[in-house]
Amino acid sequence: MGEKVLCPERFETLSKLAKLTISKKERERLLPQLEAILEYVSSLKAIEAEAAEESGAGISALREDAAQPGLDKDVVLPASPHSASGFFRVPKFVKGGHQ
Amino acid sequence: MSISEWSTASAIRGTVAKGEASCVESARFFLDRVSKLNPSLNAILTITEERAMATATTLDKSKAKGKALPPLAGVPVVVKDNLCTKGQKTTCGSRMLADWTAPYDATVVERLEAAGALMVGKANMDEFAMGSSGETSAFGPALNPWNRKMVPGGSSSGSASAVSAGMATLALGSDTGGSVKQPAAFCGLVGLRPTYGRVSRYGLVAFASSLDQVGPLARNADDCALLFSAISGEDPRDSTCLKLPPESQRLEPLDVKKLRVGLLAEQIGKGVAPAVREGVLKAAAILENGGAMVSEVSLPHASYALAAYYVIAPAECSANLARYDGVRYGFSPGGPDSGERAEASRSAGFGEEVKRRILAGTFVLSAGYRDAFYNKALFARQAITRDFENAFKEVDILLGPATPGPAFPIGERSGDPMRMYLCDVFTIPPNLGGFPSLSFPCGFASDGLPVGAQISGRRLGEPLLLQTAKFIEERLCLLERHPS
Repeated sequence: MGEKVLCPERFETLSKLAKLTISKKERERLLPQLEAILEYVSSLKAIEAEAAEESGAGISALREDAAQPGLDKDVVLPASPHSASGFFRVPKFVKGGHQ
Repeated sequence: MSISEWSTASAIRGTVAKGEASCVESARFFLDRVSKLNPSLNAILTITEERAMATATTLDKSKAKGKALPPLAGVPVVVKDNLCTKGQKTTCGSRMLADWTAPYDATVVERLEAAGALMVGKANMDEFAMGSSGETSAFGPALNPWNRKMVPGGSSSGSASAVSAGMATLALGSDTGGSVKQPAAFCGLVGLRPTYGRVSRYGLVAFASSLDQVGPLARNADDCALLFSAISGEDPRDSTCLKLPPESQRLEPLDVKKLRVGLLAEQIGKGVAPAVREGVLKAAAILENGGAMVSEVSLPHASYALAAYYVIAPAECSANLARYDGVRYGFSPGGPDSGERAEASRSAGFGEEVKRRILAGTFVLSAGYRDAFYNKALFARQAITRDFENAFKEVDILLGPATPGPAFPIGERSGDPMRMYLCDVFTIPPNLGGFPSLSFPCGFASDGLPVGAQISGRRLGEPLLLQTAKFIEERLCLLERHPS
């Protein structure tokens, strides 16, 4: 294999995409481990790409697209780490504007 | 009372039906055993005493009124902690969900209790079912009752440990790449991974949705069949669940003379422990002596299975676990904006193996790499599926090892993910194609640890797998051995 696919800069981008803060110490362990995993799975490159039909177990079905009752707010909200007045509470995500 | 820790499920139900013991007495007996053994084995994360006693009381009252007893009446069961149980903690072995109480029951849990089973506890597991040893649990590893220095396998570590130790008669696990079959092999149990879609996934916390299936663990094939019957069948709440009735409770005798067995000779060569090889060959000999036709079969693309799995499963996991953003549920330390809150929740809530898989999954799906990794893995999955379909034109079942060796010491592989992943090298191939497969005890290694064989069959071929396991089990006579 030789060539590394996961340089430290790419690792940073990945952690950002995955919404994970990885400490320097964690990175020292995770980076070579991920590199080893990716090197192993690179063996897939040898497989012939034959007719790419739909993949998976081949068993799937969809129900009617009709609304069905869900769980009650009273049941769901207590599980939230941040809820208030019958709503999930999230920090402001639009910068600027009115408070 | 004639219930013992090693009683079979049908014996316990029979004892209750005859009035020799009540369901409450059965519950008390096993809860006491859990209290005694669990502090050292760490197989159960939450003991659900109140719930077990309530179910038992209802069953006893119903019996007193002359109502028929359901098929698992009075039988103690543990449920893997990634299956939602209303009003009970459902932690997935993760700090992320350490304090999460499920607002509803998984379909399989509803069905278990409707069948009269007594849920005595929620079983320890690798975090979010990602692991092969039980060691990635945020709550410490469950231990192997055969030797407490060894792992019980994973990710359904606590399920296997609890049944093997006689804390429960049956357990539910989930199997994505081998998480029922591999711990069953390490703990001397029968573990069934059903056909994809045969058992509802409603209420099973998602890891890799195209692979996840709930499966039963038991100490013998008959018990495994009883539990499978109780949980299988159509569920409108899971659109991938097949529209079929539940499987029959009783196993018909195996018509061994009509059975064509494909022996996966390439799986018992180099790198496989002698006891595993001997066990698989002994199982093949039992079938052949009974009149089955045994021939060697090859799966040409199976060597790609592990690589395909460790692309597809992390890819699906990275998408599924995106839901843990600290808003609706799960651990959250707070944060000044949405992105930072999500990142803080995930960074502190997930353990290292989960982070490793999310990162790997994010990588194989990212622009520029998807074709080289993810799409190639899908091709491999198709090729492996075709290999199985071709094999099943010639034979009825495939026989090989469940794992390359017996259970390994705690800590031996936790720093080397690739070595850990290799535990699943034999359990993964049938899972990729959605085929059912089953692991059963086929012998003991020289150090007294159990080893397991795996049989896989055509889709919906579970009854044949269970019948075959029973036929072998009756002739191998391993069931009388229990961990001390």
